[in-house]
Amino acid sequence: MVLILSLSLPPFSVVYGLSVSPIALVSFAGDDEYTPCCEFRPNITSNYSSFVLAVLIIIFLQLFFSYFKDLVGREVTVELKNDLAIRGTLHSVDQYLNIKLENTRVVDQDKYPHMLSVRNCFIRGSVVRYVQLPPDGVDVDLLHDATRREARGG
Amino acid sequence: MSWAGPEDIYLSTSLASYLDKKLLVLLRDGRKLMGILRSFDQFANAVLEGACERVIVGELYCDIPLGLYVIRGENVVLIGELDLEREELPPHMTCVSAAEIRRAQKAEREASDLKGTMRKRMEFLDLD
Repeated sequence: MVLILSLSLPPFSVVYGLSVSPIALVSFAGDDEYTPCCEFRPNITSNYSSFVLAVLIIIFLQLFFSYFKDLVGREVTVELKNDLAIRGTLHSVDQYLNIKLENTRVVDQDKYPHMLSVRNCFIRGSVVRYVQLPPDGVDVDLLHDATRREARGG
Repeated sequence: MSWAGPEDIYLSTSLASYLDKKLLVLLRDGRKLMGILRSFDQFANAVLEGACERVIVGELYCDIPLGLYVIRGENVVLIGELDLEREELPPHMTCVSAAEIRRAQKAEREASDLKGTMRKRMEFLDLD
């Protein structure tokens, strides 16, 4: 049995079972025979760029998901790609950045009469253009640190 | 995605709280469907029972019954819970028949097309 450790994101190496970075590749032999690490190298190099792309995507999903989780309960305005802007209390968010708002009011109510009686809504993450936050909703330094940490791969 | 922590289960945005409720679903092409949510999945695919399309043109509106609908999640913009205690529409709007609303829609489309062509002609002349 060969145990491969990686210095990149733990979930990523679990999914692919391989180390992202050839430099960080370390393998331990178990009880039985030792499999040389160079066996895995051709697989890594051929998919390396797609690995890196996937890692970057995964990093950003995690960062903003965590950030929005801390914003739950705050008043936000979500502007959608169809120009509809909805103000409401952030109830919950998920990994796809789908948003659930409570106590909603549409910003330009006269233009959207059908939304008059909607007080709670679920907004699909893919249609969000902006999420407008309260000015004190962002701790910029904390976000900078988190971004630097994520970019470093830690 | 496997690395959601145990506390994330409580925070995940689930449509389960909307089951068996009358909802307004906005679609990417601008349509407004209303119906009772019977089923959903992780892509926001939805099954609406007793669905009707609410067509609104200016001050006129019409509800066109559609029956049982399965909506592909990628077309969903918003799913809103309709508050039964409030009026769904402003009181000054009048309900008309399907044929009349279709005529009104066509007229609106032609007006915006005309506006588009006039603008193109002006741009061609390059007046400013």
